[in-house]
Amino acid sequence: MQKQNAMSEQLLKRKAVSDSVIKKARPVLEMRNISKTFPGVKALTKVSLTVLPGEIHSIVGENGAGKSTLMKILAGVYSKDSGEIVLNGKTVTIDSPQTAIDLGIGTVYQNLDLIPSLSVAENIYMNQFPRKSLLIDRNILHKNAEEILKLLDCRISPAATVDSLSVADQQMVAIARVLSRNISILILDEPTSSLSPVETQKLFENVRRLRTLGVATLFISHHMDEIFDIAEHVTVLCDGKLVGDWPVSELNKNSLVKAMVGHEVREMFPKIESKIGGEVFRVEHISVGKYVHDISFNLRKGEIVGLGGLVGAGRSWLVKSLFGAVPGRSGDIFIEGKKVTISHPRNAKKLGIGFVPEDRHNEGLISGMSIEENIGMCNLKSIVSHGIIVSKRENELAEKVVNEMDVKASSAKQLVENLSGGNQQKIVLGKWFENHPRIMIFDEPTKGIDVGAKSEILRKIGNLAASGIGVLLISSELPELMGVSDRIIVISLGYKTGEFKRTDFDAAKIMLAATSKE
Amino acid sequence: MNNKFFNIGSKVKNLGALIVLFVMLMVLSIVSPVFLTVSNIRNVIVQVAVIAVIAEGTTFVCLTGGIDLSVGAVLGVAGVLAAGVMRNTGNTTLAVLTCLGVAVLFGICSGVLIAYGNVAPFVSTLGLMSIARGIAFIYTHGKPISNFPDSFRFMGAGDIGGVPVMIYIVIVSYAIMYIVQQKTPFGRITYAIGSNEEATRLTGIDTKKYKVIIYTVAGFLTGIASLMYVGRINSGHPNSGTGYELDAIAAVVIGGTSLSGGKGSVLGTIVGALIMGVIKNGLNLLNVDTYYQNVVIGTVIILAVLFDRNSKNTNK
Repeated sequence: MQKQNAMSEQLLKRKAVSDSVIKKARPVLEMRNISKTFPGVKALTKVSLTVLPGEIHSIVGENGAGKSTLMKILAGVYSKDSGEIVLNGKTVTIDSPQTAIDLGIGTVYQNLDLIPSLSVAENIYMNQFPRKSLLIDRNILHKNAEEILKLLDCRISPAATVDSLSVADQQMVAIARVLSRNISILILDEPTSSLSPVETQKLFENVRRLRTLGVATLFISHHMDEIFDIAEHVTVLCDGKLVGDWPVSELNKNSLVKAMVGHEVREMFPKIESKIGGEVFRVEHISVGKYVHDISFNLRKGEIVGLGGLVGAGRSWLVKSLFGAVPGRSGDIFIEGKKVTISHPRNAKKLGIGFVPEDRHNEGLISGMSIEENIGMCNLKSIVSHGIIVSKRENELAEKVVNEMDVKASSAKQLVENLSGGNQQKIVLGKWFENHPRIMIFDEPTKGIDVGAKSEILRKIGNLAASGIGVLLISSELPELMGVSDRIIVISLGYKTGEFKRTDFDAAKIMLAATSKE
Repeated sequence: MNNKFFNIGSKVKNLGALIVLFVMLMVLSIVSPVFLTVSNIRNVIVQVAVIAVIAEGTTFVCLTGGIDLSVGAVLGVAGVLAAGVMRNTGNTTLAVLTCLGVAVLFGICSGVLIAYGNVAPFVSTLGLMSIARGIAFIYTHGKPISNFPDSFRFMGAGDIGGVPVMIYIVIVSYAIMYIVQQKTPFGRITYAIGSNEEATRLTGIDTKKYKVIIYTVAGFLTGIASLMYVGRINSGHPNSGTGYELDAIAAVVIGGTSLSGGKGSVLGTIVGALIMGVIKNGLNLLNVDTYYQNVVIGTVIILAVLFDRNSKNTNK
């Protein structure tokens, strides 16, 4: 109990650090030549990062650039394969989240991981309750919590339960919890993704206040405006490699975006020529709750329209609502010029729409079932005769899909859960192709799939379009999206922020549209 | 030879229960000379018939990851209402339709509450159980309604060629439900809902509608069981069927159907029901106190699940 009081006081009594001190100071943190490989993917290659005490340091890069991996290594969630972490001049080993906290590195994750049913004070001092013999000393607990919250200029009651708070206040509680551990480095992982502009400003005030207390902040954000608003220094990653680091004063939006998208234009995803016909699908003024706002676009036969944007921009909500899988949509949908009603996936399927969802394991496939059962489930009409499933037809249909999609499986009776990611995805694609759709929607179809299978799946999608089907494709990988799309619509924070014809594709312009915050 | 029809699908892994049943049959036929006689075997089947028919519906419900606690009470209320109609009108057809109708109505209520009201299956069927039992007592003022004509008692007490009608019902209903489960879209969708409801929905299947149908089928089968029960004891008693929901769940679990859904089959369930019947019968023949029988059955339930769990782990 006394220990915690001391901690809070120590934090309060820290002297304000002036800019000149920061500039001359020895780095509080150096990550040197960090490498990390996941099965099949090289996530980080010799990435280095230097942070000065009290610095507000932004880490930027496209989706999958390695920002989160780097931060998770620092937070002790992942272990590095090679490289060195130096904290205050001493080499340290961070082998667990607990070690990271003990070393003064605190992380506030995007999903906050608070316990909703417990009080603010209980959440802040979880694992380190002040005690009076066996019981929790509620008075001290609330007094301590109040002090920490005061530090953040946050006027919420320590006794309130977390689930009664706004997301912004919950975030303050998460930050307060980290601060109660006397940290010197604070990692904020996309902290503004669910905040309003006013709440974002309040957060920034607090980050600046912590800076005067000597706490360095590592700030991950996709939004250009925020980076230029708050950060002093920027480290840019691309494809798991360090592009460079600069003081923010030496950059502007365009130069930063150019650094992010990298130089090489990869020709991994060749475009399959397709004859583009008349309009097959049109949506007007589609809104879905707080996720999608007034989006209109159309799609022609044989055309691939890419939906670009950052993870969490609302693209999945948009396509799921178009497929009838989530409620709360307003706006109109037209198929071949006729207005249609889609309130359940069943309607969408009847109208000739197929949907390959992002989450293969929980949404795309029924993992306890075999390949043929999964395919049959989506094509019951063609395998049923007089109300009975004809095993022979079901098996033939599955064999056909397995052959056409080049699925590597021992037989059509194999359970889908025993297939590799790429082969599972081919089953999801194949089961919908057999349904002869007019419109196919793909949500991140190559996510978590190795490079070889990736281009194979994109080629199949290209062939599908070439056969006259309209394709709507979400991908967060810009090179992939630019490679296969005929047109790209960019969505940021639920708004349509750009539309590009293939002849106008420009990675920097698309990235700028994707990161614009209205 | 083409044995496609009897080809046991990948989800029908009730071998463990079948082995247990065989071992029990062998041991009992050695220690008791009476056990393996036609009349005794017939006895066993007749004793488990009511639970076995209820448990078919329970199997479907459990395959979706749901549970139905109302079936015992529904058996009671459908039975007394039918008995009342029988007494007041003397019309067998009307009484039979009343029994089935009431049971189906309760099934629809469970299904709608669960699928469209998003009430947890445990809670909604617990509520309906209490309502059903309450209505049974209100209607009868707690007194049984007895003595029916043979036509009404046919399903419970009749026989064809010396074989009790109940045995025909068990065999025919299991054959039908097995085909429904393994060979029809309805059966396939039942498994799919239990394995992954969201993926099933995103395949364009109206999972809510199917859930209502599944609980309705469970209700219908309970109605059949109720006719068997009332016919057999020649009396509609408001208390009848008490605890049957748990016996049905026990049969399902012993038969290897997972309560979390997606795995199991009605074939396992009939084996499970027979195991429970054989245990009771065997212990009776060996003159073991009935109080001990409950302890044995409880142990078997736990062992069945333990065995199931651990054989699953070793497969991984």
